[in-house]
Amino acid sequence: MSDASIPTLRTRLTRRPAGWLLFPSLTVLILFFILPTAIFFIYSFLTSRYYRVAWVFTLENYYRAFTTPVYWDAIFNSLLIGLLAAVITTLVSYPFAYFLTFRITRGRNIVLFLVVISLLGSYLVRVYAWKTILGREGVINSFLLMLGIIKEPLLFLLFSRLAVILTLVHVFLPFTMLPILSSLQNIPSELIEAARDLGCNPLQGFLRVTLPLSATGVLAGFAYTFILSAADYITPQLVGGTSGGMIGLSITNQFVKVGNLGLGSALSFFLLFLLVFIVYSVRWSARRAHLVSNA
Amino acid sequence: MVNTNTVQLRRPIRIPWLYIYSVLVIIYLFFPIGIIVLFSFNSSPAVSFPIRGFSLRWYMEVLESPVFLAALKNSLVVAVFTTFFCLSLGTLAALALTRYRFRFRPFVQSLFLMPLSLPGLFLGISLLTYFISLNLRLSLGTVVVGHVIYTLPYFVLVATARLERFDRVLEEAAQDLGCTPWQTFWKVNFPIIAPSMIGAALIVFALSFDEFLITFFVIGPESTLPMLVWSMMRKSIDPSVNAISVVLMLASLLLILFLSKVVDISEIEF
Repeated sequence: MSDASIPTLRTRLTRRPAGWLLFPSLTVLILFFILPTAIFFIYSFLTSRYYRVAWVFTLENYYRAFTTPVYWDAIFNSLLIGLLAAVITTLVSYPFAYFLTFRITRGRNIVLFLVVISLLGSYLVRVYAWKTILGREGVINSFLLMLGIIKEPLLFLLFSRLAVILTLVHVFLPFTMLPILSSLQNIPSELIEAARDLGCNPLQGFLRVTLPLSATGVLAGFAYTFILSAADYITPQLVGGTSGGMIGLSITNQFVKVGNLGLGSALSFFLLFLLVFIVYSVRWSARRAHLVSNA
Repeated sequence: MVNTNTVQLRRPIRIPWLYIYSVLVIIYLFFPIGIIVLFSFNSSPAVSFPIRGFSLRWYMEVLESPVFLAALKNSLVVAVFTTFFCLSLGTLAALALTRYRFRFRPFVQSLFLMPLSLPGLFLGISLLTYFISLNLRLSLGTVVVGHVIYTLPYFVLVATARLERFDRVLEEAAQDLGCTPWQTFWKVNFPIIAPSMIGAALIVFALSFDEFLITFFVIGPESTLPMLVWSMMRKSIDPSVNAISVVLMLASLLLILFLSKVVDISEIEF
């Protein structure tokens, strides 16, 4: 933290400029992250046809992105699913992280280990797993048929919004848990004790000390899940079916099937703008409601 | 960082539902994975109950398939190169970010973390349009580029968290005892930070081995393991996809087991 920069006994090692240490990674980031993003952005203002762009300026792409109802529906659907997935993921993660931090000491590392395993366990496989579980001849249906509980397979399981949200929550749960966990673990226990000493009951102590101090982790996990699930293009294809297309898939199709690179770029930046706007609005309102502590 | 003393916090009545709840969450996390593992051993090709019998048939089929072996080789090559670049670029960057206060430090720091909060879709397509406009041919090389951009934030995050806790007094002591900066680095800094760097590198390897969202756009005609799984999922029912999935997850599991031997997992902060 800050003590790294207090000028104490300055060794020769520390007097060297940070420049050469940063040079290689910054070059890579500029060449392969900033420049591509810039070109991607420029593409959204260019005329394009059949996977090629002509360097002719146009606002047509944004016009089409804003005025085509199909894209509006897909964007609205994506934001809705992203928000639902993020809210559910956060609500499911918090008590779990709380339990792991404050309620158990033995076996905590094993549980943490399990969370990391599921985090690094293949994203694609986990989405696919839900398809096999929820499918027409899938695990749930065949199990219920075998037991004779149902006569006909339940068709609403797969290819529904429910399936998409169930899958997204499963995929992003560990990603939300970890930031919440680390923000809970960084709360000095003296603060919670002090709140109790000053007469707070457990609930007040939680609402006034623990929750605001862990809000940074909660917001980080929420934003992460919201952005990544709203822009997912695999889950809707595998388990979503035709039930309300998501914009990630429309964007992908512009680049893979249709070849209208300009429209695809315009849709991407429109989506990105909305995502960032929503994330910052949530953050701003959390601050306004004094749910986030600055300490 | 796990030193929270909870004795004073215990409520008079323990709440067992929090315990039950957490067990349910773990079950939710692992149930789908368990299903895939279970059906990878099913002798019937259908992924549905009842299970006909135990069989290693799908694993044999997978291990003999040249397509699988080629994809496995590509995945390993990509992950090795990604880890190498990420480790070298990321360690230097993490050193710079933790030890120096320079003018644009907050800006540079957020620049490093930015790809973390961008969807894979966005990173993949922006690289695709970039490579198209440069007339670069898509190959495993372009995949490595994509993976380095995607994994670098994770590496920098884990590495800086560790480096910030490094006790600088040790360095000063070494220098007082007559070490040159170079000796100080290799004899004091390196042995202490090495396990964390290796831990972060293992995470990078696992992320790269499994990456799909970016790879999909920048791979061109080649194939990696996740790409193979994807193409099989989309075709008609091919039960060997379960076996490949298990292999894919086993790789991550081995890496994490190795990781937990090298570093204390609870020390890794995200």
